[in-house]
Amino acid sequence: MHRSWILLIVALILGSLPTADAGSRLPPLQEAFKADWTTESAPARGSETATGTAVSPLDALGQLLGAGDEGILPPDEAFRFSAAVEDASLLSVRWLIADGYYLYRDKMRFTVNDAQGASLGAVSLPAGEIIEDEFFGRVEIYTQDTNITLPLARTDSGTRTITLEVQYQGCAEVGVCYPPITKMVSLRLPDDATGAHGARTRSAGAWGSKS
Amino acid sequence: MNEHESKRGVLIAYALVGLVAALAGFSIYQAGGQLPAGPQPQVLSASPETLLGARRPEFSLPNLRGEPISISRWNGDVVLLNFWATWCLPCRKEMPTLADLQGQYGERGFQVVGVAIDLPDAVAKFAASVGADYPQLIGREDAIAVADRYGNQYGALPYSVLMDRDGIVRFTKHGELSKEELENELLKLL
Repeated sequence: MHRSWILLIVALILGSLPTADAGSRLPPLQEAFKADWTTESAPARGSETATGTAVSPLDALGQLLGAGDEGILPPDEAFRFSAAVEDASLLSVRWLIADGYYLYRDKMRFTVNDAQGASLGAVSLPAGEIIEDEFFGRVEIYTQDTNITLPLARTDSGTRTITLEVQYQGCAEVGVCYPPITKMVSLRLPDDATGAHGARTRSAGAWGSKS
Repeated sequence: MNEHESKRGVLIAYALVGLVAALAGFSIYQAGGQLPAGPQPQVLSASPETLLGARRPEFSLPNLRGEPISISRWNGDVVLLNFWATWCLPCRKEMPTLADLQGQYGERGFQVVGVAIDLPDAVAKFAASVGADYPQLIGREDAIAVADRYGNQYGALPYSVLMDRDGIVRFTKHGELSKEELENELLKLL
């Protein structure tokens, strides 16, 4: 008898232990709210690769049980963020914004850290939709599928890993706003041997298919 | 296997199932474990549904002068906790309404308490500009943690929680409160 009982019990115990993986799945909500409420750059508070699309099991459970906040999406579902390396001197970021949600154009902040030999060039934000607000007047917002390219100025040509820090803030049309969200993304730049306008190879799998 | 062995096996199994349950409980505890900075961690996270009818979570946050203020300061009052921020437009829109109702019903024991996820200077300036002179408590992650314990797990603002004189949560609302809606809820409790 002993062997089968012991195997079963060991399996149960192992299955119930809080694993490192569980630990990494649970904090996304806190990650999302690693926010900075000033316009000064935030100190780096950990790193994460931007997937933005992963939904933690607890979020999903909360929604199934109706324990979510009256139908309000978790911020990482309302604003599905991803970042990619376009080529040695061009990054891009993308938000898939759920229907009924929007991001403020003027709350976008981009910073490149840990990047000897590479710095962020002038970012040209695409025009947004204009909404009228009684306090802020005309405000530009982004909805749906929003893409922004970020040129890099390189003074070297080797492969290099940089940290892109992206801050954004948005609201739901039902009349609630999320705290500012900061994402830290680790990106590997390819060799710049082909120059800034060389072959533009999207890093594999960074955001899947893009129309 | 003989009878003795079988009984012993069953006993071991019971003990270990108990252990498994305890471990599972511990991991669930950790899962909800966004422990706030405040000293009363009895409610780790709540949904509005479980909060209604429950006693309010205790907490302390600094006021505009940086002094720690406990929610128990308003024991015996009908309290509206209003989570907001100056960067949140719908929050700004509803504040004159809250200020009006505070003025109208304050003498009958109604107390609005703002919890701003913001910076003190910005809060003081905006509150003064709309005549909202009710108390403001301020914080960042710590204030978001309090909001979570009051049923606002994503930190979406504005968010309001109305509690009766015994500190029992009677009403929660995401988004802008209208005067009629709040007055209607308030009059049931005064």
